[in-house]
Amino acid sequence: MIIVLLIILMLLMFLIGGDRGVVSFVTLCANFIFMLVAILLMYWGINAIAVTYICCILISLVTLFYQNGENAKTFSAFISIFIIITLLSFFAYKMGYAANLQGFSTEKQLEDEMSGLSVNMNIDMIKIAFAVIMIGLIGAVLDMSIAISSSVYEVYKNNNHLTQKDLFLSGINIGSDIIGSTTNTLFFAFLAEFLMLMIRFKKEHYSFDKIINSKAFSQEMIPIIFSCIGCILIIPICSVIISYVLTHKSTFHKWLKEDPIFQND
Amino acid sequence: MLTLKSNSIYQIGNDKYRNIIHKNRKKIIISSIFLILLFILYIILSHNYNYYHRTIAKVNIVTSTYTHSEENEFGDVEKYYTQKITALIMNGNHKGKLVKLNNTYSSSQVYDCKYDKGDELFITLSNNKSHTITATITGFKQDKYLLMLVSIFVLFILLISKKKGFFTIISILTNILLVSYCLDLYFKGVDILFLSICLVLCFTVFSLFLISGWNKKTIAAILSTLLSLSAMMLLYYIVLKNTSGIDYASMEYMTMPNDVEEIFLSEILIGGLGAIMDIAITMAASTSELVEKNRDVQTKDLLRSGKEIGNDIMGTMINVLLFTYLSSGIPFFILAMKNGIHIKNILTMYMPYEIYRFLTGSIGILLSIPISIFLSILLLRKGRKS
Repeated sequence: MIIVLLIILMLLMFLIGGDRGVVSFVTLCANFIFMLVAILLMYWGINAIAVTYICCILISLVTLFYQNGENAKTFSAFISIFIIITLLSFFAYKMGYAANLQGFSTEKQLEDEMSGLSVNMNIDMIKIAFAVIMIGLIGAVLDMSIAISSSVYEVYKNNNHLTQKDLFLSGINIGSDIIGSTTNTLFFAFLAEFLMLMIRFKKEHYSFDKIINSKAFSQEMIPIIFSCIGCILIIPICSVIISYVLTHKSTFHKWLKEDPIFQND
Repeated sequence: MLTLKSNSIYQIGNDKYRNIIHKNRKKIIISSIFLILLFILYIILSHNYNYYHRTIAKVNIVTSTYTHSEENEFGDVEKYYTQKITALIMNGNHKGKLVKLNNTYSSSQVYDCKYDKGDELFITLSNNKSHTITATITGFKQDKYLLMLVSIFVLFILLISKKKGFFTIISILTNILLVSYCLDLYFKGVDILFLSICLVLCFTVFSLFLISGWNKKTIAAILSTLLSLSAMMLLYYIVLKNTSGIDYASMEYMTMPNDVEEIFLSEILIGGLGAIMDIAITMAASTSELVEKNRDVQTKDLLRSGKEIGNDIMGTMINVLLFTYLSSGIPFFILAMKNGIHIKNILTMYMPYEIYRFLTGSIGILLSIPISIFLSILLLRKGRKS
């Protein structure tokens, strides 16, 4: 059944997107492979933090520059993502360590599929918890950053006398417009994953305080809140960078020769 | 003289700041009130020991000692440790007394945890008459971390998006209330699939209304969301019935095997909703922008620009779903691989549910692009003519 759904997905991408659909499909496959390779490297015992960090950067590089082309939009989006990843990795690791997000919850431990699996594997699960948070947020943050930088770029293309401050404010404005639907996307994805667990909590008469102190709940909830925080923080960061790049064209000229706006100079 | 001059310079500087402060006075007052409120809330809730019936103890002194090593069939050596913990009881009859606790953990910490100084634990006191109190650890107090993150999220969204951020929070809160109400109904015996369809209707109307206000744009977005969602579910259902179907045996947290298929259908339905809503509102907003900017815009041009936007957002939206769904499977993936299970079997037998959700959601995204282009053009252009 996975194969059938995959073929439908592929066909729809080609039908609706045309050439761009092919590019998106290749990007999707590349991202999936990056993720698998990252998991393999962690499995071989290579430091999961370094692996995750590099994996996130590779994912953003491919998604931005291969899928969306080399231009001022993707350049600024990449820099802002780099800043966000670096900033959040610190907090994500601290949070994973402090809130004991590693490993599996007691509810999960009792599942059939877990019985018979040996836990003697000598891999630091705290670092794996960090990987879950970071890889979970990279998709949403990428989406936000590309949306903001391309909208500001369009605004600049239509009125190129705007100052850096105007561009920054329009970036914040655009970001505020889309943050609602992005948090909704994340919230409903979270709800879908969480429905079964909620039914179980309710069936076993968990009290509210037991739910919010259970690892099963935190492990689902904390990565989603981290994604939301990343999506909000990227609004000002990306707005600052794209407005700076667009108003200081001579500084960035050598990196952005492909971009039509920079060629006119 | 000198002092006078410096005084006046000081005054000019002061006036400048005063001006800035005066201009943004409302903003500054509102954000500082929020900050203070959140801080107070955080202080109250992180010292909420008396609210709990279960006994809480705060770790004071920890000593860890190595006990032994175990090895798995591939030669990975796991070290086991025991911890002797002295902790201070924070609530209940024994408040203020010290308690001795024992804990074991292994170097990977798959099921067990290593506790540090300052951690708060739930304990069960054992009923003995001797002088020293003994107890066992029953859980880790996690609420303050969740609360901290939620407060940071609320603070940032209010500071950056202001009014729209406030509406986002309202919409999330209402959705949570709706879900918990529906869960109550489910336990009274109402069919889960019927409930989810009602939920989806409420979510769509309410969230889109809060995000973009009551206008033609929103109506177009609501209609295209519902239509795309139905198309996605229809396609999923056809595939489900014409292939070998899904084996729900290893589904996470499963409790009631009799209606697991309906629960999974509901999960797919709700999971696809967010992304489809996002596409629908983007399409409706950009079409209405184009129609408003240029009243004589041709349908052909609208179609072309819709297709362009669709191509732009398609890839990144599918990426969002890919990473959001699949990242939570990483710990199990590694554990299963360390036990010698083949990657293909892990993907198809142990964790296919995330993949089903991801694939169906992505198909929903793709279907919603043409559907919302056509519906937006139909509704928004028709409105222009009349």
